Amino acid sequence: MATIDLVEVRKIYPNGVEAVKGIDLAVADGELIVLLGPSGCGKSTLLRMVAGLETVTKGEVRIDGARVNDQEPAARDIAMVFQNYALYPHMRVYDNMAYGLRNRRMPRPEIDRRVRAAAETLGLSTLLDRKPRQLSGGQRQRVAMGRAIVREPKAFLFDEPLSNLDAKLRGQVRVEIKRLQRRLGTTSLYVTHDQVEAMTLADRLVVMNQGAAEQIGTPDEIYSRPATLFVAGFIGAPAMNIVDGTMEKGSVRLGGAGAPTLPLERAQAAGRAVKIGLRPEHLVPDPAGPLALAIDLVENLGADALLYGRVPGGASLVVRVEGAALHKAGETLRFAVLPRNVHLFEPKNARRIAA
Amino acid sequence: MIKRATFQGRALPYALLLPQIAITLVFFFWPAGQALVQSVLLEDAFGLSTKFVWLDNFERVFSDAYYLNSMRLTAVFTVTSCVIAMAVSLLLATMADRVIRGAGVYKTLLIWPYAVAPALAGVLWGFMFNPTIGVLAYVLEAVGIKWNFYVNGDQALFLITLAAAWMQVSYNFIFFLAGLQAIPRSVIEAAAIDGAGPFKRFWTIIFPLLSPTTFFLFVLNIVHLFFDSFGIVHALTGGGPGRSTEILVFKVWSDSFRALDLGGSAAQSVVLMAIVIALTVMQFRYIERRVHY
Amino acid sequence: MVERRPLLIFFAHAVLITGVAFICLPLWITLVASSHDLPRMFQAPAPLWFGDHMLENYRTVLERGLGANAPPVGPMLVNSLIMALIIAIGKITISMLSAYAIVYFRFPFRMGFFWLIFITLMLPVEVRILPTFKVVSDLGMLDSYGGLTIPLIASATATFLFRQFFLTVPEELAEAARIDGAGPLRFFRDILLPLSKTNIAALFVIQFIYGWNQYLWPLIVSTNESYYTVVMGISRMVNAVDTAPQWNLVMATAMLALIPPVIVVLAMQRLFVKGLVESEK
Repeated sequence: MATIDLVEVRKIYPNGVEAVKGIDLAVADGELIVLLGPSGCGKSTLLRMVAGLETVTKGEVRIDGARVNDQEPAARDIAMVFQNYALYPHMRVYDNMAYGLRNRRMPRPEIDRRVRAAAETLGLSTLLDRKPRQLSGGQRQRVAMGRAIVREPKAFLFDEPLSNLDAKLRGQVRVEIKRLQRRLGTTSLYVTHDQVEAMTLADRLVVMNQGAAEQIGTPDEIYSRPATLFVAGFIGAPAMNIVDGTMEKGSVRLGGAGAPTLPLERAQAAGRAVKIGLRPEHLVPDPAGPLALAIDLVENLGADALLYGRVPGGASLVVRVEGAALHKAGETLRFAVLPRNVHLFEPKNARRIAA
Repeated sequence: MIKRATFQGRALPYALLLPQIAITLVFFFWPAGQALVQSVLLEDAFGLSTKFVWLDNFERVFSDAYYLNSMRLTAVFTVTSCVIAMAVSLLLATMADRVIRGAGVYKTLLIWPYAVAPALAGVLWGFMFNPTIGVLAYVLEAVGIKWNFYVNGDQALFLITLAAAWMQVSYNFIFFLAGLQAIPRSVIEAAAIDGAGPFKRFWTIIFPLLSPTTFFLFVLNIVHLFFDSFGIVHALTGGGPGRSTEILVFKVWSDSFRALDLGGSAAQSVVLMAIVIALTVMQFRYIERRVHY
Repeated sequence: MVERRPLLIFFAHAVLITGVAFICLPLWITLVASSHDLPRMFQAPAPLWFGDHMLENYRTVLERGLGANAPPVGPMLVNSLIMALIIAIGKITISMLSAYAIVYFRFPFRMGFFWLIFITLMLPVEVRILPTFKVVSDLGMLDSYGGLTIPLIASATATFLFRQFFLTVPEELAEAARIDGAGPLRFFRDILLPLSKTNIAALFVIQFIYGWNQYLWPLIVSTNESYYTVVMGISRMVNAVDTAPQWNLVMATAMLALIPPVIVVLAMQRLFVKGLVESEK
């Protein structure tokens, strides 16, 4: 159990590339923080800096309040679960889990107790004598977690642990990880590019893009009040509709003249150009609604359906409706949206405008 | 073993195989068969009389003190050279894997001896250790060691061992480096996080994972040392002084072309064949267990 | 790297530099020795720095040789070159054809031929010296390029390398070729051959060196001076019975003998290393 603090952490490689551009984050004891972002956004680099596998160019990494920038990974009392598990191929499962404890010269009975307890928790008790190559992907993943658990470290660091599993297994293991972390109460940093994993696992989320943190917040905050266009578009599937528009008194127009307007909660200065964000699932069918969607493609997904179309003024929208679509291409359907679900962004800096 | 998509052709495959098979039959199997046959015959050098003598030649060979001497020498020479070469190359490969700057330069400077013929290696080392003018001989004399490998058998053996080890280092280095680079970086990182320092990591993780490469190189080194070192011995010591460097392969050549002992040299050839077959079988057997992950 | 331990990096460099020194020392001594005149070579110890007779020595050695037993090195170098090229090209050609036959055709005794070739792995020339010599002699191939090269041309390692490589070529290529009307030879020439370029190049390096460095075989097969190769020729110079070896000239010859293969290795280093590691798998 420990807190992790990142203070203005920066990583600049010798060739000048700045992989992490000043991240500030305070992780409370027992929190599960997810670092989410596309490939190359710097999330793994950040994790490895916390682990001690990468040097910190500027800023500080603190574990339990103490600066650890110059400490070796082994001295930081953290445990890591790698994407490809990184199990020791020539050792049995038991020895894989015991290795770290043996290096720390723990007495043999204690090692045995911890390994067997972890194996029991993860359902590995019958596999202790097997070698990694005799295990399935899911089993190997659990051994990797077992190796981390027995250490009873200050923090867990997960580097995309589910990426190599098939979709069905991923869902199951995700739930197991969540339950485990809750039970053990160990502070955790979890890296992933998968927003579903992020939203379900996180106590708080750090959405990263090109080395910088676009937004830090709870899943709900990230979803309901995205701070930037990037975050708005990254979370949610299908992605949020982004439309160019202009402010008018008390409402916003989706485009030029003739385009529909949407009411806002608070009056805003008129004439300002904005980008409007509307989630497909927030557009509700309403015969008296302002958005008349001329449907030109319908995708039926069983539990819901996606309608692709245009509104007057030319803006393209995707709408998600529940149940089978009762409408076909060529028809027009009217939609309304709650004012609080209308997101406004400043085009110049992509930041959220309070609305 | 065979592709699903194959071509039709009656005569074509045979025609394609013909050159290799023909040469193999004429220059491999026929002579090998001859050696087998010759090893159970007693024939004089002029081919005037031939007698079938069962395993007499083999008996004679194995009771020949010189042959047993040769076996002992070969064993000592081979194992010592192999161990030195492998230890040195492993050390160099581990270090080369660690450094980032200059890795390419080191690699190039360590690989080139592969291109040097064993006989040349013998000449070069012989020159450095030449009792009269050799640079290293001079150093030895300066510290009080009387050095003359033309006269001292042990020194001669030492010299060819050194020359042979020198030759093998670059070959082993290439393989060890490849083996080291095949170990996933994340496994090493996991070990570091698990509290293992560099020294401990090497012995508990890296070395065990290198064991297939190590075993493979060991067998290969032995085979090379058995046969390729003919050049070193012939160019450097001629088997002497007084048979102190007369390794098995040299003895076969010597008995074939100088002593003209047909039956005996054929028997020796057959023994060598048996050793090679045993080593090759061992190598292929173990290859099946090679892949770890 | 995982840790930042400057001491370890320093140690690593120190070890590597020592290793390089050990490995390169013979080359240095040889090169230096080849640049001095004969009188200097009789003073102990041999020189550690260059003299100024380099060009002169090399010219002597190439044109005149060392005297009685030692012919000029120039023609020997040519012989070595011819031998190395024939062996390299010959081996590659023959092995590719055999590997192709075994992998892409079905015919009776296919496996039989495979094992036949496999067994030759266990019969290096040293194991059957005298009988092979006898065969070559009986065929009248002593003192000829044929005798020098043909017995060494059919080897199993090259065949296995190509076989392994061919097995990794996707099935679909052959199937597409058949649909496109290409017969087996055309497929080989137009598709397989271009794909095998790297393997061929890597193998060429290894076999060229193998051919150039042959010692025992040319020793036996070449009784006529005009067929000596440079590697075998050197031993005659060193073991000259009547006089003390003329070390400066011997070392010059040694340099000439080892420069071509070393150049080949260095020029094709990456390919060669890859080929070596793949071929032994």
